[in-house]
Amino acid sequence: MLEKIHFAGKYARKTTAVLTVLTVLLLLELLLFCSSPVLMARQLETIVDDIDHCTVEGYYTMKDIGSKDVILVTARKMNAGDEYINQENNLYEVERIEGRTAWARFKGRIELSHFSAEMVWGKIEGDAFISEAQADGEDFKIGIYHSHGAESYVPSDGSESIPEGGGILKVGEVLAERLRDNQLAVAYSSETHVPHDAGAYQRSRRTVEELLRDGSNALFDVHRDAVPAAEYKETVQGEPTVQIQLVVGRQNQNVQTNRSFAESMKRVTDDTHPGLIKGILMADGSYNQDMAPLSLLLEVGSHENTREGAERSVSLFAETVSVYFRGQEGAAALEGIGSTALRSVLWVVLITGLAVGVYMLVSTGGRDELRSKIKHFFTREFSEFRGGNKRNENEE
Amino acid sequence: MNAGLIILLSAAIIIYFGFAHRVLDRLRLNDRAALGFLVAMIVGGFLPDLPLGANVSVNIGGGIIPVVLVVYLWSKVERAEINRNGIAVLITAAAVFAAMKIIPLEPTYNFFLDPLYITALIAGLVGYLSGRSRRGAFTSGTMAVVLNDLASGVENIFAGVRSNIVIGGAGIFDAVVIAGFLALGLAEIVGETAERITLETSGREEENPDEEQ
Repeated sequence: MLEKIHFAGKYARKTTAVLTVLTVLLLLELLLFCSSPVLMARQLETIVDDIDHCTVEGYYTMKDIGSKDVILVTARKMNAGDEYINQENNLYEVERIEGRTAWARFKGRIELSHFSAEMVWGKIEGDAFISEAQADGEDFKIGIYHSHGAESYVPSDGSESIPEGGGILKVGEVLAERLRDNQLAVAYSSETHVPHDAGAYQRSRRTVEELLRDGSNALFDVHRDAVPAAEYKETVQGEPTVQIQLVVGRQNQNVQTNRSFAESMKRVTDDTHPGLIKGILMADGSYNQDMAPLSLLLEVGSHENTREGAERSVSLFAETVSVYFRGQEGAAALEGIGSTALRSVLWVVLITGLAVGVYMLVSTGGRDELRSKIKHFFTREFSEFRGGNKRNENEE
Repeated sequence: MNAGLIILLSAAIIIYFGFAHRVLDRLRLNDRAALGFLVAMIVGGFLPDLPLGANVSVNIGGGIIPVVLVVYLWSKVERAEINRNGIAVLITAAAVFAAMKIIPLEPTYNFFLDPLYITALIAGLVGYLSGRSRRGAFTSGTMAVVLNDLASGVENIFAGVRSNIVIGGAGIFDAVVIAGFLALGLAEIVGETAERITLETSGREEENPDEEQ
């Protein structure tokens, strides 16, 4: 038996050696890559161009599996299971992906959630959710930031990506200003989170934490899409307008509440500025929405729309946000949100229990050993806190 | 706040902290020390960030405490293991740096994992393979993210871009901490499974020595 273990160890060492050689080669390449600032800058630009979703050749088209009609064009990659609520509140679910076409099934026209802010943060005072003191910025606050602060609008900014700070920052600033004009307290971060790579959401996670620490109750991560301008053009109340898409990350434990928040924001906007919200996309990823239950990603137009148009759109959206958070939409039904959150709790607990169960089965391999480990856990693991001496397993 | 949401947030936080405590417990720490580090990460996350210069700062809970933990762990092991761990950290950091450049920046383009967890996956694999060590996996995951943050700062300087980097800025919920915890969790699962398979196979072969021939 020892020989077998020894053999397994030798095999692991060989694998490690191969991996080490490969990684050393990778390190050398990275060293060469980093040794010349000019070369690095040029290569970075190329890499960013290749991976940035604004320059990906083509984009994803969601089509109705029955009628073959185009439902959505987006630069975000679609995956089976993604859902989309379009402008008319029709719900679609992606069933399969063929190339860059996502075939989705129509699930029916839905009633958008009646989910008001008071359900999350408490009972309203009088007829408004936010009291006068809160409106002065003492308590309630909306946080605005940009995970991809380099995103820009080509017609206005001259480029689709400006690492020093893209046009999207100006759009965010306008949203913050208009919200303040509507007596809402706002915390705005103009951090760009560059370099513009896959680590951007890791870096913006820190901004989210900072905004939450600063007292923000709701968060908007403002982006722009990367599809032809026409996809985001709509006539709203007689004026040509750049639309806003709401994105909810499916891979986070707050997904149900975030989705309800998105639905209710759309419901209020459909009343105040019909057509302004293009739809709600429930896509893969977390977008740091696991950090707060009232958290949304906004796609304000596309890189081919004008920044001025996007600024006007967020001004309209700010009115909606004000209506929503100030409770002018009337007393919303209180049922729904509690059960939504409790359903999420059940899922979280179930998945955790399942994961622990599988791990325990794998690591024990039998009922007797499992029972002994559980007994060990409850009798010895916390013995130190009860005054006993736990023998450290690793030192045994 | 609504009761349902309080329960949801509490459940998520309790599970995360419970997992974190179990993970720390696997690092040659006794229960009290594990709890101490956990509390330090939580409390430190609320303290002001410390500036390091050149637009780089560090959070106490998400940056300094995890690094202190790594140093503490290294102080408890032999020189050879520190060397192995150090190499694993560099390998992981390089692999994560490359991955962050190669994989698309939108999470939807990643076929199975959010980029936040890819770091942990790489660290877990490299850390474990570098010495089949849970501690190696933890130190690789933690330090790889810290080194990548520093690399991002350097990258911005070269590119002439002004941007703030806060190492571990999200406190205990930061990628620095999550990568370390998940890497160790992964190493634990892979390790336990591999050891179980090895033992089972050896046991069966010992019972039936003729079958092998």
